[in-house]
Amino acid sequence: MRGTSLRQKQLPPRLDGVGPISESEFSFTITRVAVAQICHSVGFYGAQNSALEALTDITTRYLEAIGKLGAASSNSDRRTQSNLPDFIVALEDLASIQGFPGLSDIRSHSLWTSAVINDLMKLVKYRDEIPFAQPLPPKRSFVQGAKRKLLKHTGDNKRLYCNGGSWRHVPSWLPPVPVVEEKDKEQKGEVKWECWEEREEEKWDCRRETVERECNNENFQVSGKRGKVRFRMGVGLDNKVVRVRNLRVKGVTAGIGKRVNN
Amino acid sequence: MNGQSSQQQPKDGRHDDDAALTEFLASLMDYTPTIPDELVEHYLAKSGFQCPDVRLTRLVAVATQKFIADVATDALQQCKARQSAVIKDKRDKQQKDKRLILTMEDLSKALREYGVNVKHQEYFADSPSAGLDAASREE
Repeated sequence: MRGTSLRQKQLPPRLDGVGPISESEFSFTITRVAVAQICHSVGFYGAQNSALEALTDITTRYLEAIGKLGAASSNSDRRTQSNLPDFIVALEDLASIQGFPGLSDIRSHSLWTSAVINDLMKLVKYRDEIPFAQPLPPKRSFVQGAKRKLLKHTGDNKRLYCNGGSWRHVPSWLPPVPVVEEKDKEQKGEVKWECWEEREEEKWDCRRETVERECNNENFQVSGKRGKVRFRMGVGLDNKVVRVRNLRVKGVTAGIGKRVNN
Repeated sequence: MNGQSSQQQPKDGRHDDDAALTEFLASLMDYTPTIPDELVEHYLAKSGFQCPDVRLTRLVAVATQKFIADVATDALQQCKARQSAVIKDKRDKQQKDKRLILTMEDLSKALREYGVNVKHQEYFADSPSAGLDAASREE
């Protein structure tokens, strides 16, 4: 046999046959099946192993490229979650190599009329849908992915290691993220709108009272003693540059407008 | 009057586009792409793309499916063109060689148009019987 039959739908075993399959290998294998299905739908009878693996690799890279470009687009708009315009921008960036109608005035037109989206609409409308060959197994934990959650560091500091879940893009060698403790947890829960307004008003009243109390206090003075600063001004003949020498500074809080001696 | 009508046209066009897009996104809820949602979510999460909307995940799957289908179609054309050139010499093997098989040679030619340069060996022993076909031909 020259090639592998695309109808072979069972997942191939691990190549070296040692140890359990890792998460990346697992996802790669599933992608391989999906790519084989797409090739079969196009009209291929079989495929070389190397060609199928190359195409699978390109598929995974394409998916990650869409993700990275979309995330970059949303981050540049100061958002963490991506939306449809981000996706369209990412797709147009990726499709710019082949070109598409309207590429010359990219970004100036409305994104909704993008030719890339129109192509996808046609694909969904006219091409038969080919569901994945087998139902996916339920979510499983991998050996390497045992830490795949926001792990709480059990040491002295409350810190989070973000190397799993939706934080998969954060490299695991980065230091842990410190926990931000929320001071008033009451606000976190749902509060009725009227109650919330009342609470805000109370806070404002408290602040106003403290400001007024401080202003009315007669003994209100600037705390701390100010130090003395001396400067000497003269013309340096060597380099023909006017120099200002700071001779002596007393105290840390040397301010402007103090006594200056020539 | 003319000016008003010319101003209204793009508004109506945009409205139609919005309606078509909304309808398209709604139709994605019933559409099952070949690439499963979980797989797309895995790769998107790996690259930092956060979106809880299933429709967008499916849109990514559809876009990837389209890309791969385009590449495979190009490779298929390459394969057909190559076979039609070879078969002229040996018509007796026409039936045997008619099966279309995705090869590295066709794939690399197809991918060149998509900005991917695939470097592969001139001869690559894919399977133990990879070289047998050529040897039998020489005999």
